[in-house]
Amino acid sequence: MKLNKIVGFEILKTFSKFRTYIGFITIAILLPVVFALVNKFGFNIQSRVVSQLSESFTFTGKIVNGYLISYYLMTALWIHFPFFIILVAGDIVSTEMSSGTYRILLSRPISRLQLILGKYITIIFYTVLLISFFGIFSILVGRIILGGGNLLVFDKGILILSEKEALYRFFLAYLLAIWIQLSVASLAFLFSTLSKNSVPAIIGSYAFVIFSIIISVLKIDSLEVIKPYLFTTYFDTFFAVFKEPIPYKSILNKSVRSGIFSFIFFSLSVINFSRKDFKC
Amino acid sequence: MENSNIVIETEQLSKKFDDKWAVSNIDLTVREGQIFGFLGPNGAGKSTFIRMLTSLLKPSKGQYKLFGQKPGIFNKQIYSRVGTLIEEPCFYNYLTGEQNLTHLSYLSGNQSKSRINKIFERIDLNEAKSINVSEYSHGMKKRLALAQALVHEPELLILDEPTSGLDPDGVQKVEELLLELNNKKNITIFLSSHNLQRLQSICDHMALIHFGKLIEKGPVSELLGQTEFLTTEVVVDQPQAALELLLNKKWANKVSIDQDNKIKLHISQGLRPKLVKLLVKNGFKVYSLQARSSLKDHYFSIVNQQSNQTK
Repeated sequence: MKLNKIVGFEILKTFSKFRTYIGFITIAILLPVVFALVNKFGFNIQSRVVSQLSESFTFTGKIVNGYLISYYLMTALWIHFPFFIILVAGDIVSTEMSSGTYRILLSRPISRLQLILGKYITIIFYTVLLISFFGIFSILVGRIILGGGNLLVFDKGILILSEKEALYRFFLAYLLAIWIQLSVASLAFLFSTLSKNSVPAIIGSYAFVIFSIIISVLKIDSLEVIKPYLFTTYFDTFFAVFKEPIPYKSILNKSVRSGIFSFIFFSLSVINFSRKDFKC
Repeated sequence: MENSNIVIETEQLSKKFDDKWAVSNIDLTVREGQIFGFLGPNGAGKSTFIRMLTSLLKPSKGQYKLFGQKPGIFNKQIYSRVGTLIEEPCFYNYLTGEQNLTHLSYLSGNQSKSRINKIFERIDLNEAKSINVSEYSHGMKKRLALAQALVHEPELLILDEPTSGLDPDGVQKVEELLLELNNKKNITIFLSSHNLQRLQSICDHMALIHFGKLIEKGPVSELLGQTEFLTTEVVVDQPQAALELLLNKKWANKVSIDQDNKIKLHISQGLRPKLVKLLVKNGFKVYSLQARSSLKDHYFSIVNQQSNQTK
């Protein structure tokens, strides 16, 4: 099986580059700092909530714990994941066009489909690793610094989730985040096959994502028509797992749509790469 | 020879970029065990042709077969029998020489660690194999490029300018290696080069392309025999005086004298008696007259002829 050799080589190449670690380094520095600051200076949500609800409820223990801050970080940073993903996915195909290394790759007994598939699997692996690292690291560090407990979620009211239930919801949320972010990875991958070097591929992908996000979040009626056709419309699907009850049907629907975008972007990448002439 | 001996076969192989045909209708046959030189001036289409053979470019017209098989989009297994070196060596500079070679070898179907180690020894890179390729000199990269072409023990080598950028010692070593591979292992070699003298010393067959078209092909000895302009070497008793005499003759081209006092000039075969007659008539003793054909002379005579026709 040649594919495993290709994937092995692609993973070695990808993880031999500094840019691959930028996302991990940022997360590894940012999260402990945020948790430590919350631990030292508090989180004003606690006082707000307690003052609003103290007439109806009696609170024991801390509302602000590792899970709550992890949840806040997840909701705040979901929009930034694409930047790290594009940095790697936008580079993986195009960089070899500028360096000329396809000369030694494509003249081997591997088909272009195998090669592009190997590269795509590597990007999936990277996306899974990055988001999993964020999820596991934020929960672990949050627990260590701020401790565990129930998770309070504010969504048209207050939802209090037990520690066990919170962990299950986090698991589902990150699983969905991986799935959704694969559409970004696939888009950057497509741009990477279209460009002869990584800079236009990365900038082009960023520009496309930012443009799509702006259209997706603008509350303008006339834009509603095109929103279903934008892959960024489904970016926030993973928030839905923190609703009660979990709207599985809606999540599945949005996930399928997001998956279709990933499939289309990947298919276009395959077609483009297979038809390409390598002059350099 | 039987069809099974054909290693490379192209039929009307052509490539068009925009409106220009870079390679046009090339029919070529390379047989097992040949060292086939592919000649042509810059921009003649040599690299485009080689890139089609190595699946980097898709032919606009025509087809090619390697070992009798037509490589497909999904079936490239035939390339496990082919080693390639195309133009300047490009590697993953952030990986070591060993990492580069090991993984490229795996992709070609060779998993033997001992084979990889042997190749490093053969190309004198054993001590540098654990160093990142970014630290390699051009010569080291060129040797590594040759190693990646050989690591899976191919039966056919397709080499585009394999000795460019190497010092004379390096060039000689590469040529010795190619001749050894051809002689001992019967590896077929298809190579393009600008170094015509070196090419003549190792190739038994050649093809010449110009403006993307095949001008001629065949055994080197036969093609050189057809050359009209040959270098003629003359040994006379008074070389300096003879040189002065010949420099004034319009029909004698490129007249020079070498360190051994041999007079060299370019004249057509039919003018040789005239040369002898002139020298004798002017009182020179002609000790010897030798015609030497060279690929360089042949190449330039053909290229000039083609360029004039195009004008």
